[in-house]
Amino acid sequence: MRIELFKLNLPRGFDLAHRITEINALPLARRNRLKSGDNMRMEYHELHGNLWYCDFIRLRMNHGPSRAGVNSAAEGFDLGDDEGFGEETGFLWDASNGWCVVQYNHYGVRPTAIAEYFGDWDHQNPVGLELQPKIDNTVQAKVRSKTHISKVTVVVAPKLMGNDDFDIGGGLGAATKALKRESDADRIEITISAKQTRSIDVNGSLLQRWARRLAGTDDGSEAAVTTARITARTENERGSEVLDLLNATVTTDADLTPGPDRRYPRPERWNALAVAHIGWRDLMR
Amino acid sequence: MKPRHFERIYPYLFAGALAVAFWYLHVAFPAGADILNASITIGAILIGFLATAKSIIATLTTEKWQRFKATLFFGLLTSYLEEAIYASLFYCIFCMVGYFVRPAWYGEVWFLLSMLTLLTFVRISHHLTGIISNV
Repeated sequence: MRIELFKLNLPRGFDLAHRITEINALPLARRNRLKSGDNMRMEYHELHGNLWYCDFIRLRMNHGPSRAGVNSAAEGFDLGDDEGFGEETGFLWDASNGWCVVQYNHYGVRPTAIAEYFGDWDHQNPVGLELQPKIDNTVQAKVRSKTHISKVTVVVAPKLMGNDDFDIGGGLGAATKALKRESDADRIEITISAKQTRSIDVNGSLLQRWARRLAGTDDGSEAAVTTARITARTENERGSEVLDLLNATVTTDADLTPGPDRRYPRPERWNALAVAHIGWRDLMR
Repeated sequence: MKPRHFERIYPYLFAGALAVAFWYLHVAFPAGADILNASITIGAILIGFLATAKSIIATLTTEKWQRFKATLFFGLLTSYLEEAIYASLFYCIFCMVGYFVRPAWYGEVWFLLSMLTLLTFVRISHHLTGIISNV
């Protein structure tokens, strides 16, 4: 199970603890909120010291898995009209420092959806919560150790004429000339890959420094590198690894044993979050 | 002076300067109505052209154009277009008034409005050409 680290940015005066308690006091049916066509909710919550453990589910109403055995054919589940597949996502909030450790479930509730759920709970008075992923600084050391680079991908967002140019006194003449230079593409992706067993003669560290220097705001005010990835390996490794040179986030993989129902049990998931939380204590700054 | 500020005022600036030169040189305004007929015809042609240009830009749908429309430059474009249309309209009305009454200063003001109509038209047609060929 993949786990990620986020910094929770709360608006001034907003009490998340109160919001969680308030939601937890409601019956399940009243906790649902629609997100991308499916209902999601905070299903369960426990407080241990400063650590607020929550479990979210996304009620996936579209297609899902079947039940199948080695000797039995695949068959569907008997679901009611208001039932779907519950995609579970564990969430841990450390109220003492504002950091969150979140389970990654591809089909489940994503961190942005959690932030929106808490922030927009009171429709009359929505607030902007943000879960900002922690960038992994150790990726630099990893890049340095990978000497065999087989693929480089760089995505560039071109400069677009915008209100910034207007604000600095740009005229319509300059704007119409800039239209000529603008491309119809929002993103330009460049991929350089080597033939099998060979590698590209490029210095990963230099490439990373170059990409970071050119990584702009991505609002179109300047041409900016938005993605830079390499696929690389060390001398002795057999398989290559994809490294994100700009936005590598802090993640870890927890080895969990599924229960008899083939789900990761909640205590195990929460325990994995707690272990990751202890391990990342030095990064929470 | 920033490029946009110059772009905004240059038709007025040059029209004013040329009108002052016209006054200084004591050029006599021609008698008769022929010049007024010709002026109204030119003004009407310009209004017709600008109205057509307005309908052309209203039908543009490319992605580049949509992006351009979302910027403050679009407001600038429409204001230049409006200035050119109103300058031409006012020019025609002023020429029509000339059929009935021509005070001593009529020639200078006619020249000022002629230059203003011409320069605001040159400004907008230059930008419209740039837009239509680039989006």
